[in-house]
Amino acid sequence: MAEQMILDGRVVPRRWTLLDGAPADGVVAPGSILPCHDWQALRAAGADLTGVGLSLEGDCDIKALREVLGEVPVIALHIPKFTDGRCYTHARRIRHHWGYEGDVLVYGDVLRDQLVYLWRVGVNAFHMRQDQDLHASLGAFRLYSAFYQYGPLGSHAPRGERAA
Amino acid sequence: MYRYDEMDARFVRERIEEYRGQVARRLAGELSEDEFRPLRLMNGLYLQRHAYMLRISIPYGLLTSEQVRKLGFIAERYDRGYGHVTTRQNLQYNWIRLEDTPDILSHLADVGMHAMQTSGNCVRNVTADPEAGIAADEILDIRPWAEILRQYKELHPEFMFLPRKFKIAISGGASDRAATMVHDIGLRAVRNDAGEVGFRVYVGGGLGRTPRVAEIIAEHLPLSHVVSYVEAILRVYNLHGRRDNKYKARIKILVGALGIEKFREEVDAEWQAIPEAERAVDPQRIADITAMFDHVDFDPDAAGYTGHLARRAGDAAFDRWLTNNVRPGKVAGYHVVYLSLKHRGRAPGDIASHQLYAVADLADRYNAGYIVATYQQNLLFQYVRSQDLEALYDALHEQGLATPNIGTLQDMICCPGLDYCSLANAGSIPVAAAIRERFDDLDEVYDLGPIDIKMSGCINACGHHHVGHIGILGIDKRGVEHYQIALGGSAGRDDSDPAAIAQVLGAAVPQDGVVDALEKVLEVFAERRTGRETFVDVVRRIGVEPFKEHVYG
Repeated sequence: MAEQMILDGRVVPRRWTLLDGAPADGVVAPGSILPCHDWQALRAAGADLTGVGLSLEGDCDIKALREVLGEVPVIALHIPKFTDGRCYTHARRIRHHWGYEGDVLVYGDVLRDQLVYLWRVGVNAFHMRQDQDLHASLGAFRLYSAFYQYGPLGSHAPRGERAA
Repeated sequence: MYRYDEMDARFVRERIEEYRGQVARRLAGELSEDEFRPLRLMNGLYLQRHAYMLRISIPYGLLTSEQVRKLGFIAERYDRGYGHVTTRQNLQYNWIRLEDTPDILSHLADVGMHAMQTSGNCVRNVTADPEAGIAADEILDIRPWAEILRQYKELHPEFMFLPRKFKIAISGGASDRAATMVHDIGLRAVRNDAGEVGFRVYVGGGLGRTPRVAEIIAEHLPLSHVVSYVEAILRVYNLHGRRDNKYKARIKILVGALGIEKFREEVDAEWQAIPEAERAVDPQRIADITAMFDHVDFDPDAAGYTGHLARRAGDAAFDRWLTNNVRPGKVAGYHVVYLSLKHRGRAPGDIASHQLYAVADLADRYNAGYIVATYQQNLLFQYVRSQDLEALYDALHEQGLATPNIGTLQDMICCPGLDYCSLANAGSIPVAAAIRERFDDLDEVYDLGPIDIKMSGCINACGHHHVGHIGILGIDKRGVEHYQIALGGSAGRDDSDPAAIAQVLGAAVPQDGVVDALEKVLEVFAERRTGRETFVDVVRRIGVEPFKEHVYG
């Protein structure tokens, strides 16, 4: 069976392929995700990157990416360790401050206990850690009926818009 | 007081269900201890030497009698009959079984309480001036703001995995009773030249291994911007705080590395990036929450009452209690009464079930049903009428809660130390007990004037030893418990008494040498003091050298 992911609250076959770097021939298949600097280098070289996403680490300075958001169908955020919270801020910025409408994907050390928080900062796609039960993990989205802070996007309308 | 509505109550229940699932996965082996640790810590559960410790959140220290009764019940049913008030105005139990924790949390939820974010690398319980709302020197009643921040930080999705723990304190009086200058963020109400009240924002203070007094990042922030400004600070910290070394992960290290100017620039840029519509708190929300805190019907007859004063002449203990444990409130005829948890023969901050029950009853009778936990590990009543002082004193005395030692050398802050804590290098409770034994004579203690002794059993500094007038730090010296003594620290009260880190006196002394060293320190104080000069003023005036010479000479 093909590898699965959680996308918009459902378990579906993975639709994105994460690459470690640019292929030698410089031709990148749609549906691929390149590390940010490779994506930028190929773009500068004039390569066709239609349908290709980019991936970010927690320590990336992402401010320069704002201009190119319209060109990528997916932005992947790497969580190297369960307790590393940097990408939550990236997700919030990309989604909320910049209004990005493509997929925001997380991958790496992703356990079900992070889902509710990641979802609320704007992540809608999850490559969970290998040992995680994806269907059981969906329960994370039903844990809370309201929150104190802002509501996340679209269908996850703020049910308890309470805080400032 | 803020009353939970349906949403608040449901939220706590839902959090318990999430946690119950996590405990079940841990017990079933689906979660490793490494994975479970950050999850249980986020819910206040530590693994200590003998058992689990569960720390219950008391937002800005404010409790109802119903809640205090429940705390007494939990101590009786699930612990060994007592709890421990902490410097974050929380209450912790030291003898808890993991499998009982979901049920304990469920009992707490019945009275609107929980253990969320009392530990872990997230925003901890917001602490506040315990006299808020009633202090005679109040510039701003900060309780509504503390409540707004409480709501803001509760399971904030962006900030649950910070580099390290994050502590916010807020104070509204001319005098700072919340140690704001030694917090990650300190908020102090100030009035500017135009008479407008705003927050002076401090950032990067902290104790632990690398004590640091906070710096001012904003001199006069509009009140309504406080949440968005805190968010901007948290965002800069979340992205740039160090994650490679947990001893360098607190925000104070980042502020120190960048310098306050550069750090301020980063925060201002983040604040500008927050959409304009989200920068100010909705005035209606502030008004609604503020209204919940204005509820006590003050008795107009209290102001003229002086009946209790007659007893002073014939009852020395009562007289001492009025002098030391009672302060005037801002409403004439009303008093702030401190309940001392520094009783001989008991660890500082400990309170037994039967005392919790009694305190709840007394609060109902004499304090409109409220109780406050303080940074100094005591409790406080803030709405006591003059007419009730005598009866309240008698009842507190009977419970062992009227020891007239607030603000004195006996009013020590002390962490649980090696007797409980798996981080500790040395005991602190036995040293506190030895000091208490030696300085048991109240006349002597009063003569010494205000002296803050603060003691920690290890460099994590839960007992805030860096900011004690006398700080005592337990260390392990080749397997033997030793104690480093430092002088001249202060948690900071106002511009005339700013926060300061205590200076180490010299080589650490063995446990049985602490009291002797302390006596020698106080001998120098007695000799060099002019009139009623306070201990910390003498240290500031003459420096630590004369003390050092006498202790080690």
